[in-house]
Amino acid sequence: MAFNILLQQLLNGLTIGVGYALVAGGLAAIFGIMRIVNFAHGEFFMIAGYVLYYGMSVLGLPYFAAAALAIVAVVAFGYLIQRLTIEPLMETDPLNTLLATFALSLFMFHSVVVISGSGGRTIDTPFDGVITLGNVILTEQKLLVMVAGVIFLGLLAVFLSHTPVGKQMRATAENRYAATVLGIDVKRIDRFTFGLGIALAAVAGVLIAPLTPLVPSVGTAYTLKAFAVIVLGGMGSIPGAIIAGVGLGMVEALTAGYLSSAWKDGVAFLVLITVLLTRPNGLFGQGVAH
Amino acid sequence: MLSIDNLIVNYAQVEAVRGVSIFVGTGEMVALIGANGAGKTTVLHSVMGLLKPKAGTITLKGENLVGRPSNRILDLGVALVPEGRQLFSHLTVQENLEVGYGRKFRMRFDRKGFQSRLEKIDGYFPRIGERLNQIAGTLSGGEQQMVAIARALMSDPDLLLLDEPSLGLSPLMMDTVIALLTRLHGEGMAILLIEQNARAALRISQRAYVLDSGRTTLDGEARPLLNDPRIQQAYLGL
Ligand SMILES: Nc1ncnc2c1ncn2[C@@H]1O[C@H](COP(=O)(O)OP(=O)(O)O)[C@@H](O)[C@H]1O
Ligand SMILES: [Mg+2]
Repeated sequence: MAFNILLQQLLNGLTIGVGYALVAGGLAAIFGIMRIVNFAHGEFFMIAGYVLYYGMSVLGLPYFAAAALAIVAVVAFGYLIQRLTIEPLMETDPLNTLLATFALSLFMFHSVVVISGSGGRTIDTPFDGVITLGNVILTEQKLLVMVAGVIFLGLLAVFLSHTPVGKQMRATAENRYAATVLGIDVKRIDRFTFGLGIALAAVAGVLIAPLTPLVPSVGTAYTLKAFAVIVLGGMGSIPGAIIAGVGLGMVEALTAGYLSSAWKDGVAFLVLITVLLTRPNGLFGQGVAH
Repeated sequence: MLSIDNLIVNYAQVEAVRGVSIFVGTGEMVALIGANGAGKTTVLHSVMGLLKPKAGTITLKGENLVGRPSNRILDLGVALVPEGRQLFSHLTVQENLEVGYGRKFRMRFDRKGFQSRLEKIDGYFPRIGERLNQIAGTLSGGEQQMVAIARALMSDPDLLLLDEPSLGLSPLMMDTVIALLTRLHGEGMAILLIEQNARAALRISQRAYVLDSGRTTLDGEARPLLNDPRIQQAYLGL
């Protein structure tokens, strides 16, 4: 019986953790390659959820079509933001991009509040069934999060290790100067990285938003969690962010299951502080160069 | 081939290069020597498009380089082996070479082209083939320098710029690097070599420039400069 509870919590943790891994993986890529702190990262997750909601309820699109629309729309918006605000600020004081993304997060949050109100929106996907495995239950949507999440994370890993652009991204993350000297178009790598990072947040958004009523403040919550995850995983390390993201989801779920859900954020940050006290560069960090 | 005329480059407050003119002919090996802080790296960075000169012109095969982004300058046939090697130390040797070869923003990699380029340079670096899957950061200093040169050669340049390639190398490794540069030059590559080790640089180069506080103070045939008392005193420790 106790084993079933454990298994149940681990499955819940894996679902949340895959979401964290997607959001934080994108944030880690953006930080690692562009060296900017994207305070608006979670807002892109949130906006994707809202585009999904309106795509289904107003446009009457089926779930997957609305999800695809949401991802495309959010990435297009993110790309525009990158070209119009972040790219021109990249050569200036790093504080400028930080302030710009902070302002952007406020803008995105309040725009959604104005358009949709701060109350919760429920998204009904076709995956509302429940799968029972012995005494363990799993909603179909959670299963979808895990399966799709793992597929997207796998694709990301293959992309980074096997394609020329993926290798250029890793090279640029490690040594931007050498990348420039070798003739890599680092500006283009930046644009692509930002778009990719936002796409991962949007994918997480359309998968996770249907699990709970969607509220505008979920964006900020995810930004904070994603920052905790990339600090935990080692700043800028994408594999680190993925492992730490899944790990954090597990810790939260176990805390919620065995202690109380009121404790889950507290325990999550306790783990973060403990790791940082023992490994200041995070679990997989090499520390930030220079 | 490369013609630098009256180059002036400033960092915010510092006047790093104050009117330098350097010429490298087709297939010529030219040395640029000078003390630390003389402005040597600044000159190379200006050629590569990493710095914007305040004044002066830089042309390659008659084409203006000033204001062009680095990737366009590579397209024109210039490559730089930067000071301190600057390998991607978490990537494998092969990945370092791949990045040097496939610098364009492409999703597909020209594996065939890469292999044939690799075979071409394989002769210069006898042991690189065994090291392809090794993480670059785990190589010895000398091996890293060889990979750094190999990586620059992947773009098939006509003009190779090297920034203190012998820095931190054992005398034996240094001889290997020098032999490699002599061979590349022998096969028709133009080389602009920055060295603190003036003796080695002057021995293998045809011509040389001496840079002091952002100005060229001496230039001419390399051999006579080896015996020039001013050089002997300042740079050869005689
Ligand atoms: N990024 C920089 N910012 C400010 N000053 C610099 C910078 N890089 C080099 N300098 C200064 O410019 C001068 C020339 O430097 P550099 O070209 O690196 O010389 P060298 O390569 O001959 O040692 C030095 O006085 C150095 O302190
Ligand atoms: Mg230098």
